Amino acid sequence: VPDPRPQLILRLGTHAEKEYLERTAQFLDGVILGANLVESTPGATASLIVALCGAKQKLQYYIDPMTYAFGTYVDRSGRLRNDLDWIKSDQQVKGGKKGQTKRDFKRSYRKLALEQYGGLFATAVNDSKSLTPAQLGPGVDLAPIVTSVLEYQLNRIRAEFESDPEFREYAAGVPRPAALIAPYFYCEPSAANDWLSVNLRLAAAAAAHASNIPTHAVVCADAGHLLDPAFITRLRTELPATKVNGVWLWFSTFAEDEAGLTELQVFRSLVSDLNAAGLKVYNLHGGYFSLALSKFGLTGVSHGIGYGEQKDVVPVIGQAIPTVRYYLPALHKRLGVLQIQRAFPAMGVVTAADFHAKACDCAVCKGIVVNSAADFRLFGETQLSASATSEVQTPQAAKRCRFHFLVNRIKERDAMPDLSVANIRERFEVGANGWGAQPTLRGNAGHIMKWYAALA
Amino acid sequence: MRTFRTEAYLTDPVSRYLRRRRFRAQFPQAPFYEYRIDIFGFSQFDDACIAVELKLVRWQRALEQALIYQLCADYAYVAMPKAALVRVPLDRFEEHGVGLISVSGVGCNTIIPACPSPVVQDFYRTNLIHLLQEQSCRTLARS
Repeated sequence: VPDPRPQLILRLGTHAEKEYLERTAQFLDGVILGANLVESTPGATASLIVALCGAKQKLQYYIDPMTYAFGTYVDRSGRLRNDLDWIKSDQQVKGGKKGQTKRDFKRSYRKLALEQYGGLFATAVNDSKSLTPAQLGPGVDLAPIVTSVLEYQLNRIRAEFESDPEFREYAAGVPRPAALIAPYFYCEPSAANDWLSVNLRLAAAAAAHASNIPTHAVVCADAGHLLDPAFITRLRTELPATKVNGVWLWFSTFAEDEAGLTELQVFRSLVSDLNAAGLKVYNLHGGYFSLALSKFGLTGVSHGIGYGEQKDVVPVIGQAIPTVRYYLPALHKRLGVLQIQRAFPAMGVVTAADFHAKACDCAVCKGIVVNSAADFRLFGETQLSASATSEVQTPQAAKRCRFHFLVNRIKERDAMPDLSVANIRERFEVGANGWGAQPTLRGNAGHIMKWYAALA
Repeated sequence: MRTFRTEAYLTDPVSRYLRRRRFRAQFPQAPFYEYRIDIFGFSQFDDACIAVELKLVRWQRALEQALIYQLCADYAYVAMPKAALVRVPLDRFEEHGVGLISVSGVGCNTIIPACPSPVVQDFYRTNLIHLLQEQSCRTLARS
């Protein structure tokens, strides 16, 4: 009997990514959307869910309630923030002078709190003050919070259809989410245990909420907590007791390709233990290492389109648009086109056939690398930026890289049931000694042998 | 001995040194995909181009970048302050055909001459030479 195939669930970040989702949907196991995306574009999101997850395609979907955004966090300067600034932006003052801005809540989060969740969430936005563990502590009735957040996931898409007379008749056909995700908050380091207690109580309350749809919890904590035995022990022992059906792990900034061996080993054993306790375990932002953890009980992994194999809870602001790099299957990592191309001679890649045999033979690569291996440059081709001050990747090249990545990720998922742990580790070794040993790639291949050790 | 506080301080002496070696047309901070080549030079006389990475201390990173510049230049060099070269394993540069230039207060000196790049790609090379020529024309027009 082959091992179960891990689920591959794509996270839609913006509607600009819709094309990628539509073209790969039939090969995916699910899609997950943030509630803030639903609120910023309710009509488009509802239509997309019906198109992809309706009677025809039947793709499973999840709505991430994004409740952590209304909690406290530690900003990049290390300051504990309770002003909800991370869900605010500088906005043009209506009727004000040109360039006159004010710091205010993003429309999507404001709508989510005031028009959808209500209660404590609305109070938080009205007071511009984060929710704290004390407000959600023992003795506080969590049922209203849990009910509003779960009912939102159950009914929001249907309500969008019902609100439009033209589409009302389709409301009954709106599919339901594959699971309901309990409200959750970021276990920020200064009060991690208090927040974890809140999250566990919310999870238990969600599990007790009457619904015939499975209930899942999210563990959202700093990656540093993987090295905190007491925190991990609480997860192992207390999470199964909440009676949720599944859990999504999100260790902020836990990047599989940068993590230390101990973190990887703890993550693996946590997955294994939670699964043994009867929970379905997902990694909310994971990559190939997570897929490999399906051998140790991981049910599924989600990530973005081209990004999101790790995610920092605290948003990065003001970053330039990054180049979409090429996913090198042998190293399971995105790398610069030139870094890879420089390794061609040593890897014996000269012709297009060599490239397909030794680097990648996916449909995208077969369509791009046609005449010789030099065609590979098309994955990184650049053009003068709008300001004419620098060279930036062309949209076509970025698109090629994204589709190539998605096709490979699907192939990796499909291959998993037929691979043993020993096979996976053998492949890591081959990757590390081949592409990973090349001078321009060596510095980016250290993760492979750590993964090799972590799966031992 | 002169100390160089930033990589930018290396630019002028290295640029002058390259000019004396007939790489008269030069493109500082030449864009090459995700990279910026500190100095990309072209010698019309020799029909050859050169790419130089300036670094104060991190020779491993410089070597990695120079290896990538071998895709677009006939010769790839790393230029570092003379004082920093004591920690540089010269054989690593020789092994890959990457040249090494020592920079001091009195000027520059080639410690290891670069070998002709075995991996230069005509597309990248021609593209950068065209960019260099366009940049030279713009500079001339402005002056």
